[in-house]
Amino acid sequence: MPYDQQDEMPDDALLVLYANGDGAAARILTLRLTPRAFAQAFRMLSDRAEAEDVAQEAMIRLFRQAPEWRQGEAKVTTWLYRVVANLCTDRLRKTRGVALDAVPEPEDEAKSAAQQMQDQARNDALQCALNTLPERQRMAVVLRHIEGLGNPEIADIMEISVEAVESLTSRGKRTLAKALASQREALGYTDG
Amino acid sequence: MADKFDDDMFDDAALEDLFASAKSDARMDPSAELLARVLESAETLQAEQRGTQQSADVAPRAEGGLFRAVLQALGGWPSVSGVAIAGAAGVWIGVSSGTALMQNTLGLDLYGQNAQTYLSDLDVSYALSLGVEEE
Repeated sequence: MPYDQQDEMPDDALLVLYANGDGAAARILTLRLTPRAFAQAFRMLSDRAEAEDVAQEAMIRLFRQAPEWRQGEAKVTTWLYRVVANLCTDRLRKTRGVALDAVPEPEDEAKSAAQQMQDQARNDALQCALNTLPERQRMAVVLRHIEGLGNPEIADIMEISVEAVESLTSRGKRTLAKALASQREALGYTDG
Repeated sequence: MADKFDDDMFDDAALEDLFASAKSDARMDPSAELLARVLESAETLQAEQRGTQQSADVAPRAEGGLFRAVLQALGGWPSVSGVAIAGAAGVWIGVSSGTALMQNTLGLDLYGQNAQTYLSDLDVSYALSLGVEEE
């Protein structure tokens, strides 16, 4: 099957191809899913090296699962997010205290230096505020508002009810709003 | 429904703006090294899994062999034991009924202890082959 056709295939179909020895499926799954696993882990752990370890471990578990995967029964991304969430929880229990990595912001030619600085300041402020949230609230807020998942899928990932997800995200947003209130002007948000 | 916040809090629209900005935060992109490591792991696991799968495909044949195949074709051990019992019953009926069930002299010859019996009595083709050898 041509590479561009496989590129549009659903994740579970690619997993079946992977299990059957298809090399292109391995590449597409890696490029498609690793960024999601890594971003979720980085948001939760605020540590690049730890997040990379978690993302790699989660992807390895997914590939190990491929021969047993039953097409249509579960959503691959839901399964992956759950594994990442559990791995992050394990690591957070072992090491408390988080700080956003001092990773240099990649340069964006289209944006002015001032705009880039403000974007970075906003992203840092949000991540710092996220770090103050209890673990479950942080997870729910990240999955809902940054990864853009629906509440039923988050409920599936976190193995809680949809109502519990709504409660976590609502409380999480309130806490974030309080934590960021003092920085409103500094981050370029003025009244009016 | 949008959440409403007090004046001393970050407003909802600003918070949504921060979330939107965070989605395009390039620092959340995985490094090329991580992608390479994951792909390498994927390919290694794939090769291992394919090797295991092929071994598993071959294993049952090596383990069972022809006997198992014949046994399965007959319907397994229950069927084979049924056939064995039926065969034993047939032998017992033949022996216990004596000469009553015999329909020709060949049976009487085989049953009697003194009579000489030749293979050619059972099947004439033996007579032909014996004849050829004698020539």
